[in-house]
Amino acid sequence: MKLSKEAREVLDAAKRHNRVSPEEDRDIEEVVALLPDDRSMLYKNVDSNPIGDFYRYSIHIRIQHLLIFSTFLLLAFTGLPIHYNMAFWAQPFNSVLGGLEVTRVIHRTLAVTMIFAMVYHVLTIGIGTLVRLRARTFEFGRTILPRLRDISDFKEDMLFFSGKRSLRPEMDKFMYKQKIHYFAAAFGNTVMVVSGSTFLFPDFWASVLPVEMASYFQEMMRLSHPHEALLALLVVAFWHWYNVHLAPGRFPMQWTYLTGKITREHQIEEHFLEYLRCIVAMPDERRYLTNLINGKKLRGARPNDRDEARPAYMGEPQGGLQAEMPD
Amino acid sequence: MKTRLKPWQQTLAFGSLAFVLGWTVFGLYAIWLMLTQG
Amino acid sequence: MGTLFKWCIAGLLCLLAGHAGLTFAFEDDEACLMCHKYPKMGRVTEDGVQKTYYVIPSVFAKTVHRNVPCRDCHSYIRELPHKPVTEGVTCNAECHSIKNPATGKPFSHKPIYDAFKQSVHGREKIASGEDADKPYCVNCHTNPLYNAKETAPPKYIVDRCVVCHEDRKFVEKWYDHTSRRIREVKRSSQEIVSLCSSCHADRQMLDRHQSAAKEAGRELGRKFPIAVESYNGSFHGKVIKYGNVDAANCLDCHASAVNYYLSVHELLPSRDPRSPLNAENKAQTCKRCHVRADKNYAALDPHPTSKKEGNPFRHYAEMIYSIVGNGVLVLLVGMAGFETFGRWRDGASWRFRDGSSWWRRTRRTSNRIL
Repeated sequence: MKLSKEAREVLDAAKRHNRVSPEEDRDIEEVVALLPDDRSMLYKNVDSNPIGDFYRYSIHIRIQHLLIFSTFLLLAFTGLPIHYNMAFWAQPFNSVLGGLEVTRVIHRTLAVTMIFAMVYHVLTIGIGTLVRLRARTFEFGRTILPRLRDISDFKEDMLFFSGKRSLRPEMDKFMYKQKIHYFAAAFGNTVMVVSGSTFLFPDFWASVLPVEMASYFQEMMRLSHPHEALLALLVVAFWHWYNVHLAPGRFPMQWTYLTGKITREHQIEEHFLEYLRCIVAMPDERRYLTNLINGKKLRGARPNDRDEARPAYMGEPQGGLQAEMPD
Repeated sequence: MKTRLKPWQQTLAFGSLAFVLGWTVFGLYAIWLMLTQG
Repeated sequence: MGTLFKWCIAGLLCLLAGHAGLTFAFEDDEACLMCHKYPKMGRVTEDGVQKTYYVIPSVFAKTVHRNVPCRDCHSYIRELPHKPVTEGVTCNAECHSIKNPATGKPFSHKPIYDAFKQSVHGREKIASGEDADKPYCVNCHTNPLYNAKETAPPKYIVDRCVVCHEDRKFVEKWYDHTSRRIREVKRSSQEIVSLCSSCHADRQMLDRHQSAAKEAGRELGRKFPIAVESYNGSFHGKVIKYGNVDAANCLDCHASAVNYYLSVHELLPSRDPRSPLNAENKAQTCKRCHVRADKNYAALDPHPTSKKEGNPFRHYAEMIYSIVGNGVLVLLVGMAGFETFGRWRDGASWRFRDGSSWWRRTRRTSNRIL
């Protein structure tokens, strides 16, 4: 396949960062040339280990995710009976914990744990970035920071889903959806921490703000805390969990949060640029790809939605290998 | 094409799925709360 | 068996004796109990209200007014049997028989009554119109028991006192008087909130007063219509409701802490410079609990509300919050649904045992799975 400009840049950068030898470089270029233009041919035909093939998240990130989601659920679990203390279940629930006063203490303790996880995360990201900057392997496109390209990725993806494009866009390690989710969580957590602190330290916030703002700020925070919490709960329940558990390609569960690894088909489908880095860094992957492409004769497959002339490799609709593919 | 999950992996994956679906029911209840109690 | 029987008889006798002793523990020199000791004593008024005039001697004997002769308060009673009562008891009358031991003058609740008269709640005993909604003394104060949890003063204390003071009745009287004051008999925060709410949560009363004030061109307190519901929604209200004893109840802020027991009777509008909630005094009032409170802190609203007339800023902010929050959710879920549709169309599907992958033929022109 002939790489796009962006993909070529990523591949060249990966080669530089991996300090590939001339032989390896040749090998990489051969494999890349073998890749079918129709990337869907690749991700639909590769073998994937459901619990993950390629390294994606370090143990630190996984621990942070674990800390954040367990504290988040428990914070919701203790926060709701405080806010909706009149609900029929809230009073027995508070009583089980030892009364509303105890629920409040548990809520605050969990909040401190969550703040710890947030600080841990910022440190991990910060130190990781510094290390990459020093090693001169930092790539902006590989970070979760939003770029203009995400907007066009989003647009292209929507066009693909509606059938107007033959291929999904080539996306990097973090696609637009993950960026939305990450910053929603980062923003939401910050709002929760700030608004929670105004409940705990109203005098501090009042004293640092000008007098005409103090009251408005407190009112906004009193509104924000429950609203943001419910929004987060609903987004997690109806969007995040859908995406990682139920969405096509992910059911019954995406294992990344436990193993830190992503499946091969997922990597190629949604993070093609990151997959190119895998090709550069992993000789085994190159061998696997060569065998797969030659074995299944994927070479040269081109994307074709409205193709009148059916290419030879596709065969007749009911013939050959397709008959073995159960519907 | 995915390989099949081992039995313990099946258990873990579907257990996690059941947990989040249970919580999603709670999410529906939270919507109801928000709509009725503000 | 015989011993047990004897003890039972002795116990029974003790109970009977104790009861008989209590029945007439106060002197009924005026012979009011001649009639008022009968439980059926009462009548149905012209309005159909059932009135009970029964005085339970054993209970009255344990109340703080037990030494006040009936006619010190019911001064309009001049003969027996007496005429129908029209005026009733007022609390600013002077006692004829009880002297204030400090001043030697006849005892009276007049000082506190005068403070009450000056307050927002001030009214006459017989009141009409708007004043009729205000509380008179008896709306908050009944004739309380000295020590509700004790049937009689503890013997081991009285026994010790009578060694010198000789008179058991005298000792019991002073035990009751002093022990009640040593014990914390102030209402709990929960009781105070429910006492204030008994009127201030009454929608009809609030509406009556608002329309009356509007007609008269008077200004009511900004929080008057929503005082109780906004307090119940505040942190103070919530934690008090579930038993916290440190958070502020109504009187902690609305009464002055300088002379609390007088001040609860002279609640003032916050416009009044003497009110603890006057702009000048507010920070100081907050400071009693929130030690770092300053002028900025005093600007925070302890009666938060999202009602348009109560706090328009918060009202619209909440509206925007709801729209944005629900909009975000609908957009995200819509996006997930659209993505599902798109990828399903492209051949992805679910299998219970194998999970989800490209198991299907694509809906596009060709099946690209080999």
